[in-house]
Amino acid sequence: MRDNIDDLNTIENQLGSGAININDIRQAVVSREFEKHRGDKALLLIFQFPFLIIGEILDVVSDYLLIKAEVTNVTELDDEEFRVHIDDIEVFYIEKKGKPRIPDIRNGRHA
Amino acid sequence: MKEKEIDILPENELFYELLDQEILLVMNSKQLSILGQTFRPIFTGKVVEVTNGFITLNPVIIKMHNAPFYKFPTPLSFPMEHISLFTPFDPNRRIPLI
Amino acid sequence: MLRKYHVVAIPIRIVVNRFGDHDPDGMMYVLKENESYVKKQVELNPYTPVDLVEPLVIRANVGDEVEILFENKLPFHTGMHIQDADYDVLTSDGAFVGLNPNTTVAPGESIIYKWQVFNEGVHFFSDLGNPLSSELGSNVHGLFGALFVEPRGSWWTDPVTGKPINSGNFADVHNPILPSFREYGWFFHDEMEVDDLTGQKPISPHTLQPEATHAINYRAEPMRNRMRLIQEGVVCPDCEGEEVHHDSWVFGDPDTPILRAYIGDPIKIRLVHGGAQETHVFHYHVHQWLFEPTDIDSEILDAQAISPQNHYTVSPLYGAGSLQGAIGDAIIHCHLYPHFGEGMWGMQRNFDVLQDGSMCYPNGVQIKALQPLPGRPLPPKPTAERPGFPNFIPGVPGFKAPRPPLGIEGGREATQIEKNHFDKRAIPGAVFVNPAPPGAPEREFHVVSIQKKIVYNKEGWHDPEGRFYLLKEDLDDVLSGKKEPEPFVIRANAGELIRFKYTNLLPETIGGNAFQLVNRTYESGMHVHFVKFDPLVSDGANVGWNYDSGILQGETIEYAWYADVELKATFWHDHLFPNEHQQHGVFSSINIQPRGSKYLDSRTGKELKAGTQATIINPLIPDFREINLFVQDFALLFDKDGCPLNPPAYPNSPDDPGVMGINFKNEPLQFRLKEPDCDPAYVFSSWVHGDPVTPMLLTYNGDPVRVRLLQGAQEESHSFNLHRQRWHRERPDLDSELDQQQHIGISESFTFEFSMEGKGDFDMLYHFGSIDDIWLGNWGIFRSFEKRIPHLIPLPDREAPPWRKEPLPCPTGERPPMAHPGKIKYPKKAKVRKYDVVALSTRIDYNDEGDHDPFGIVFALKKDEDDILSGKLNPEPLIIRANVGEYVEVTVTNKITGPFHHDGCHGYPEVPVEAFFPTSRRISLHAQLVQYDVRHSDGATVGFNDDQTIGPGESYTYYWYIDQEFGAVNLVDMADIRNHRHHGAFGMLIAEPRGSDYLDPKTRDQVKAGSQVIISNPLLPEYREFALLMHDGARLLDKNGKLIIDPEPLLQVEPDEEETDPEDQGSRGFNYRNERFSHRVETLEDVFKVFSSKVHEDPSTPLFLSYPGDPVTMRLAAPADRARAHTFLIHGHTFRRSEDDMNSSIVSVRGQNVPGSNDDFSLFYGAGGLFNRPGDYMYRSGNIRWDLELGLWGIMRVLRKRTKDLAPLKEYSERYKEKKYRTNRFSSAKSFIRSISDEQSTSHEHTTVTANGENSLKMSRDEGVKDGGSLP
Repeated sequence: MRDNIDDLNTIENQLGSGAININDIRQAVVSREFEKHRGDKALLLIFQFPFLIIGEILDVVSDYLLIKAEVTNVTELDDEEFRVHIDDIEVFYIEKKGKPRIPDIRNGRHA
Repeated sequence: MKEKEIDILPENELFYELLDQEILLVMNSKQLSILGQTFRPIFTGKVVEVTNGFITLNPVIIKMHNAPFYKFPTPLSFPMEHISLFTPFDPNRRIPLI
Repeated sequence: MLRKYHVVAIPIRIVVNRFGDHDPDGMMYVLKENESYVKKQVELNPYTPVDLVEPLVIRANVGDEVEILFENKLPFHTGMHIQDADYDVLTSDGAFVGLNPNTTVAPGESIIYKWQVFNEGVHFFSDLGNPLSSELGSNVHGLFGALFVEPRGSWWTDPVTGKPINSGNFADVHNPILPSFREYGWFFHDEMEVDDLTGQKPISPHTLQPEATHAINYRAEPMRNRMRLIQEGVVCPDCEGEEVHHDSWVFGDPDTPILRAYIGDPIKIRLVHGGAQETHVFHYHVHQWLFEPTDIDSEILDAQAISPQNHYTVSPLYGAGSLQGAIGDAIIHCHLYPHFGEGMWGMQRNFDVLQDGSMCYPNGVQIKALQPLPGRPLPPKPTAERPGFPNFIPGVPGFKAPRPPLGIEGGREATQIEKNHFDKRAIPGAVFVNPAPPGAPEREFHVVSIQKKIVYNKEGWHDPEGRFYLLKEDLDDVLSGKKEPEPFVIRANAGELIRFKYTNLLPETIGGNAFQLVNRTYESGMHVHFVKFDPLVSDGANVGWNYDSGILQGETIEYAWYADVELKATFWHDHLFPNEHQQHGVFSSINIQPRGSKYLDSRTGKELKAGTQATIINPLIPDFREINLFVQDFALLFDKDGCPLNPPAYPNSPDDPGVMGINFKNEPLQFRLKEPDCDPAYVFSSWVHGDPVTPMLLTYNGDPVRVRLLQGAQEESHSFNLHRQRWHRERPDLDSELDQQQHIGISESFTFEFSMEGKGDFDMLYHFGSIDDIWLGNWGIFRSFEKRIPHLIPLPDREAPPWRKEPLPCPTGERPPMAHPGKIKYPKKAKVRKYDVVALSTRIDYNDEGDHDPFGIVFALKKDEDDILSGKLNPEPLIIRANVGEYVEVTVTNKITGPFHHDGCHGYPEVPVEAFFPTSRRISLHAQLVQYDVRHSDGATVGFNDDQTIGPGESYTYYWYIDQEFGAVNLVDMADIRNHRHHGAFGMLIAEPRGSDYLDPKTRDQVKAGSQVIISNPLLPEYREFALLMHDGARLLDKNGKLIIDPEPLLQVEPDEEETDPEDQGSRGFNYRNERFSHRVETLEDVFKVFSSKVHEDPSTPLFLSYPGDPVTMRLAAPADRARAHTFLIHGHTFRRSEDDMNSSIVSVRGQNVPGSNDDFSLFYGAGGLFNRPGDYMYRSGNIRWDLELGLWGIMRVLRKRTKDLAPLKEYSERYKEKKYRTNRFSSAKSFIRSISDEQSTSHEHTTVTANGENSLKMSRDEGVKDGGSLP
């Protein structure tokens, strides 16, 4: 809870008081979510090519997410470090402790 | 309404009101693709998390046109700015998807 | 991941059903690990099917490498040629093509093939070591299979045991982040040699004549065997045959595939055509799917035509049982009734209770276990009270299926066990599942079916036993002749529950004439497509362990359908005796309209309950005109004197009896010749002959239109062509291709949506473009008026046009005057490209062996006239180009002088119902997809339009505008389709990107025409363009002047027993060339070398040259001539099925090429595929019977080294450096863009680009630069 209020405060600071726009806040909160989980694994669905990216969150730079891909829809792009425009992420999941793991599809068979 | 665990802005109250409820959610892209399986971004599931930027459904069903009750193996989060519409919804209802 | 498979090609006896029908000389691919076991099993079971004897299916995941150790145990060279995969054409083509090494394998030897796969779906493989069309070849005996490629990370298990499997048609496929699905391989194949237990060709107990067999996965369940059991009294002796053909209560389950699932299971049917000749229509009861599985905006289908070596993935919406979750058996079949009857059917079986192997079917046969899919809810276990499908149905094995509860008036009471399975909201016709949500609005119809004579045309062609559905309330009017029979069309809105009472008033027998033996037809029903229903009780059919939802004469049944969404014209028909009477007219449609629609009579404006034409009004979308067109063949008509028209060799022969029609009408060309000169140029003219009797759509200019195209009967491919108006191939998807033509097979349904653009009053021709169709009268007119007339209401949401004061045109019996375009006014700065074209009579040499058409009729540039006539230049079809945004003026001068090959009696290649029909001396040129004024630039003299054909020695100019990049289209003569087209009177027009230049591939000089050019554009990469016209029906002589009668199977000792269908008659060509096997093969041992340029010369067909990685666009059009559909495919390359749609499927094959079809293939990754590998890549027909053998193949050569014969493509910067470009090209992309925007600003003269003289092109270019470009 503390985190959250801090977040809102910092976001407000960043955006400048008096010009708070709910759309900006919503986007910033999503960016912050990725920022908070550097080093964790994430699954992203984006409308644009290559549609699916699963990989480790390396960093967030302004509204771009730096992610080390492990798997995408396109085999040749596995292992790329993508800079993904966070505002283009349609659906995501960040693997957290105690929450379901993102399946690894690279090695064929899984339980 | 139960006490908020986090500080939800008034503008996001309408999401918070559906916490712990089953909803139908549609995102604004034309289609999405997982490993070549394409689908309209239509989801159902229970709202388990509401922040000021995104909501999370778990369990979540992707309403794929050829597998309309496909339960995704992980929860999924949806940035509010990409949500086109949502509504409380019985996830067992069968609806046309085309 | 690397996957390895060891595959062996073996000879094997293939038993296709438990009646012992078999191919003694079968051949198959099999995994080495199964080889000895399969052989042993076949040895032990010589008269029954063996499970493992099925087309080989192996699997891999997207991104995998696949290594095949292939071993040949057949007595001739064989190989495995794979489609859609990436591979090195020099080592893994599985063929011996051009200058490539041989990658087929001699008997007893082996080879390693390496493939890489990047796309999910079917990767078909087949043998090209012995692609002979006859029984001497390998393909008709079964030597084909497929690699199914699954999403990354998938694995697959046996649906019965749950254990991993290495091969097999059926598998459950699993993936960590996708739903598990049931995968079913479904291989249609035809022309297999099938004998009965005595070793003879099977005999039909009905006709006592030999009968063909049509198969799925090496299995067939033809009616003939089952009928014999009835006749012998073994089962239901009171039955006839067809009505119980699919009834498991009578016969037990068929040997053909039964696709088992639990309700809601996700499904992918991998549909493959492994056969050789026919185009089939895959129809799947209860379920629908997307045309493009990767595009959610795609059109939905429930029937899909498929030509040889084509394939699709069919993934039904909502999984097994569809949206409503219907249990029971849903038949899957080829909708071409003769094929259906000859064995080409199976079914989807949807269970509602768990099957663990402990249950039995009602006849005591064990229900094999079916593993529930992970992630799906576990189905309940069967109990005594609720045993689940099919064990609650109170039938008796050996007898016909029982009738359904509730629906039949005066029917039986339901049993308690049946009631235990009822839907909570059961109603008559929707008993076990009610697909409609509570409160859905209802619409009711009382339908009857009757028999009545139908007259098809003014010459008295008629069907004495016409049969059709109609509203009960219209019965008196139709019987009294007040209302004319037409195919029954009703309408409903999306979201409605449609409830029917259906009364069967059909006679109990039919036939007893030259077409048909006397046959019982004592039962009928209403089987519907697309809408949601309970198949157990409302299928209008008798399938598997379901109820028989047909009724006897005089009975009435209730059916219920729910229209969940707006659909198109939804086909429905009888499913009990369709082989006997659907061709008499027993087909219908319910058009599912947008919610809130009302349907008006277009003449009176009154609300309409039924009819093929209507005005549809809706408060939210534009009102529109609707016309249903049902094309039909096997129309069993008699002439006015009672003589049968095109009777079969014996009654009930499925070999293309009868004639054709549209909505019970036809207008045969033979009756549209007028004395004294009998010129075919005026067959479509209403001035000369009056309007045709075929359906005519009336509109006002600008009215929105939806044409609902259906095929009601019975076996042929048809090609719908409409002049002038265009539509999107998939109506819901605006990214889909713009079309003017559509192939259709029986039960398919298409909607063409457009607005009727044009000026003044005008007529437009529609026709089914094969000569077989058009000759028999399958053509008609769409007529649009500028001003209001009494017999057409204006659309309520459009401003009513002012009343017409002039009288309507009336036939004069005279030729119309020549059309006069007047002075064409172009917008300022318009670019006009001019072509001066001559039509010539000339010899065309089809190959170096002397096969030729001495009576060729060609279009050519005027500058080539002398060279062609002197024999210096062997003509190729006229292939011209224009850029988007350009106006085109084509001036055609008629120099056809003859001689013609006949004086009125055409002969081979024949059409049904031959008649006197002399060759026209006139000529014309019609272009598809371009914009033009139909009153002067259509090229067809149609309806009350003026004459647009050109007399001998005369010239005429057609004016077209290229408004968008539609790619390649057909150019074709419309003055005499019967006599000109198959002699070569066609060409191609290609719309190129704005600002493109067309360069000679060797010299890079500007060219005006040709099949092989470089397209150079300042904003786009240069690309090579390879243009192919694929045609058939040609009439050729050999080098000794002897007529070649095709098809003529090679090396065949015994002549074919069957006479060749007219649609197969004639020789084939790519661009007036072919490379027949007969010139290259003398013995069976030569066959594998037939494509080799090391053994022979390069083929006479176009040799397309490129360097590795060169961007390549192939242009394909099919201008002529027959109804037989052809598949086109290219080795080692892929392209999008819909060129402009990024979500479209990636394929290497285009099926269903028929007259009028056209397409464009931008090859992925350029020449040589993903890895840009040099080598010879074959392009060819996929029809093993008979196209390939008759020479429909050629080579696309990707050169490793630079040669002087082929200029390399250039980067823009390189092009810019060239002096000639500096002087007459734009200096930069920027100036090009400026020039485009300048075009819209006001300025002076328009520029002219002419393709006539040598220098004019350059001159006009200079002008272009002066006007728009800027010099550096």
